[in-house]
Amino acid sequence: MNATVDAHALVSAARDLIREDDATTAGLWPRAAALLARQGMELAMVRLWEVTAPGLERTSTRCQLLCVGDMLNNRELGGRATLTWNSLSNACHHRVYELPPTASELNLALETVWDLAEAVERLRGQIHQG
Amino acid sequence: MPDAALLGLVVDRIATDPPPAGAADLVLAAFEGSTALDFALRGDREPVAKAGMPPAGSRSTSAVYLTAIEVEGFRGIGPATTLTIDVGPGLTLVVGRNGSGKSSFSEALEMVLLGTNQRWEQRIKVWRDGWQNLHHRHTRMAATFTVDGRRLPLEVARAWKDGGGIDASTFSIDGKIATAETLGWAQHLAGYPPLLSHNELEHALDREQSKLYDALAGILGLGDLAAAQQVLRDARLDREHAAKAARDALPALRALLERTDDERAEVVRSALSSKVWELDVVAAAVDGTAASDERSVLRKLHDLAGLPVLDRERLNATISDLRDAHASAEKLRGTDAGRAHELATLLQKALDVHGHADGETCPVCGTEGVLTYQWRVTAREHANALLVEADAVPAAQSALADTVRKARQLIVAAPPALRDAAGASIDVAPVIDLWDAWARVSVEDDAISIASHLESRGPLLIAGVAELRRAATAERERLERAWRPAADAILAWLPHGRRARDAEIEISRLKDAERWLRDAHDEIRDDRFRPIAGAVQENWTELRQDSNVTLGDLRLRGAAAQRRLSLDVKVDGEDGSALGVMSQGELNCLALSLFLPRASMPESPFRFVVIDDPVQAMDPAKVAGLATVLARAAQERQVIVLTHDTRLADAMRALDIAATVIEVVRREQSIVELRRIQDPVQRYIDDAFAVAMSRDVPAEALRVIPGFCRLALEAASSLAATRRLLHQGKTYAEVQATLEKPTTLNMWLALALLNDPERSGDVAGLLVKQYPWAVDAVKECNRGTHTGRLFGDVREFIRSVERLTKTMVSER
Repeated sequence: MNATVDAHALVSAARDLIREDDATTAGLWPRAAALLARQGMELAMVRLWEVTAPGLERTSTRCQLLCVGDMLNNRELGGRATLTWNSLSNACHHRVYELPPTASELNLALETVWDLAEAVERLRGQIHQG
Repeated sequence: MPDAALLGLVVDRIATDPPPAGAADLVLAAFEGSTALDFALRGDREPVAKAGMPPAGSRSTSAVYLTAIEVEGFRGIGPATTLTIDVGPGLTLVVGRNGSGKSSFSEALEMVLLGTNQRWEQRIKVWRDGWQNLHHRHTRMAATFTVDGRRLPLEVARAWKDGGGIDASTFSIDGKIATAETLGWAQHLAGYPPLLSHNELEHALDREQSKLYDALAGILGLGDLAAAQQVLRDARLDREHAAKAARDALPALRALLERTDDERAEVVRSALSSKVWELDVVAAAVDGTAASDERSVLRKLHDLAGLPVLDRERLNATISDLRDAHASAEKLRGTDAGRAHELATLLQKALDVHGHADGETCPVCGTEGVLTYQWRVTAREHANALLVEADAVPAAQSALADTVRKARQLIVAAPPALRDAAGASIDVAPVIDLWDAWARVSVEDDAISIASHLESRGPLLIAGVAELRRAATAERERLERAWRPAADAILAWLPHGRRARDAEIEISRLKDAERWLRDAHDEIRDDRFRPIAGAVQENWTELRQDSNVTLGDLRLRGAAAQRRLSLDVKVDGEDGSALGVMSQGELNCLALSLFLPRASMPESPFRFVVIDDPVQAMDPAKVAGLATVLARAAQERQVIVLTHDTRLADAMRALDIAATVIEVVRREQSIVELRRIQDPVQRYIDDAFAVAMSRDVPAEALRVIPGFCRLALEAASSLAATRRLLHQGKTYAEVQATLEKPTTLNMWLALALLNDPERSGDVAGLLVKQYPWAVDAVKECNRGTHTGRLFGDVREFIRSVERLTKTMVSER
């Protein structure tokens, strides 16, 4: 298993799962894509805390999500990240009544994860230069 | 074509409880429509042959099961996708998110069976324009059925050309182009609808009283009965309208008649004032064929106009005959016809005597030589002349008498028509005088005085009568002219009057038929509704669960504008105002309670029932009730339920109700995937294995395996906890509330293993003690879900998780 995977690769893999008409993944791709998306998000946040607030990764996810907007100086993205996390969590935990997410819901979530990962990498680049 | 079973019931009732005379034909005709009814009212229709009617309840009941629905290019479904259903009684849940395409299957079935031009017409334009799938413009829907007595499955399909209108479909049966009539299901589909769309479910009870009644009467399959009643009612109203129109026109007609100075006006008025109009009298008065009595002015004028006129030539001939006969008689006056006759007789005798004897001596005087040959010749001539003379006198006398008699025959008394002419509005007195003078002849009058009488009186009478006839004719014409407007008005009104009179008779027959059919309808309805009402009660009891609404007597009442659903609803034991007190969820339950018994009627050939999303707006308790109700229906029917969430499937799993669950997922490009799922736990395990075993899956995708394993453990916890809690006597609603608490795997495990989601901290210790072989697997699940990393053998890991799920679910 590739230990140096990054969030963008996870998003791409998830997008492939959604897009490709593949008998192996038939029916399971929605939850699989959701799992990858959430892992991508967690990865992005870990890389964010590495350069901004080491140790924050050990706090609750709720706490971490509250800090994302401030740390990136982008409250809009922080809000989207929270919403996306909630919807992905519903897909990644067993919930009474809950069916797998739809392709369009997943695409929306993946877009947010992609944007988050990009914002984190941009900040890391600025910090390293500075 | 009316419902044969229903018509059979009506025919049976006609035999056992006959309607008033003449109404039976109307009742039967009303089932065929207004044209047939019109014929029946005119008596132009053969009564429906009773032998041709199927007895009630005997209808083809070849069982029809649904085996598959294939949909291509319709709404959310792109490439052809087939939903396969197990044949035979049982429950199938088709579970998919809104937009996954699951409803497209039930809609497709509906379109295949019922066509596009019924309820679809009412759809909003957006829907009608967007019915074809965006990614796949070739549209085809097919439903496959297994029919008892048929070796091969039956495929019924509809296909559309690219971009064709929704109404332009090609219908086919087993691949051959056909019409829906060929299938012959229309009647059953209407009587025992096997499809309940969500829209119907939602709005079935959400209407005014008469609509509610109609919805339920529709479920009862009594539509044809109501329609026949409406046909009778319309026919009666039409006739009442006609009768009223004729009556309304009467006052104006009466006023006109009153203004008209004519005896016929009075006749017509009296004919129209009787209770039943004497229209034949009216007609006769107008067309002149009236048998009017002697007092009739018109009759008198008619007679006067036709008074006998003395023929002037005959008069003149008679006068000259009289005078000639008189002259002939006068010429013979003074001749002695008697003596001539005697003398002729004497001479003849003498000639006869002399004929026998010889000699010329006279036997009388004895003179000799006188009776010579010469004497004989002279005597014979003399005798003949004497005989002619003797005949002329009586001939002349007889001719005179004859002429006089003929003349007297001319002189007759005035005819009764003239005598009775009083009141005929013309003056007949001068003519009567003339006639009286004419008739005044004495018996003693001789031929000459009679001739003078004729000569002096005859021409006067002829002139007088001719004048009178002219006057009478003129008077008649004047009266006709004055009568014409009234006559025209009567002629114009008469057809309406006739129609109204016929209508009055028809109205009473129609009312008989209506009354009878209404009673029949009420009883048939009650008969049909009774078992349904029972099943509805049973279903409601199951579905209402903790609802405070109890359902008492459920009945359909009234007819036409007064028809209504009578629902004895009690809220907390108090009488409620019917449906107003019920929530949408309760209304859905009630609608479903009503639908299922109807679709499960033994008379229905359809062994399948398709219900689209009954769960919406239902609380968890009702979902459990619904699962029970559906399970009951599924003992005899193939019950297919489409639903947008897993509540129903969860409830069935919790209540150990056997059901096939088919999950519908829609990829991009409208690729719809269907998966049969035995239980969610096994599905997650299978998903984890599928990813682990696959060679094509990219390395990143392997990171989802711990996530699927965690989902499997959580689902197993949920199932184990549900079963235990229900076993402990908790209500389904309470169980569902408890299941909403866990947010992490450890909380789920705490709920399942320790009966308390808050004790997640104790899970690790418990695992070490009871399931040491699972400790690592659970750790991997918790960590790996987030990091995507796995240590050790992937398959071994999944197998450990599977073992733990099985252990949890099997323990009670």
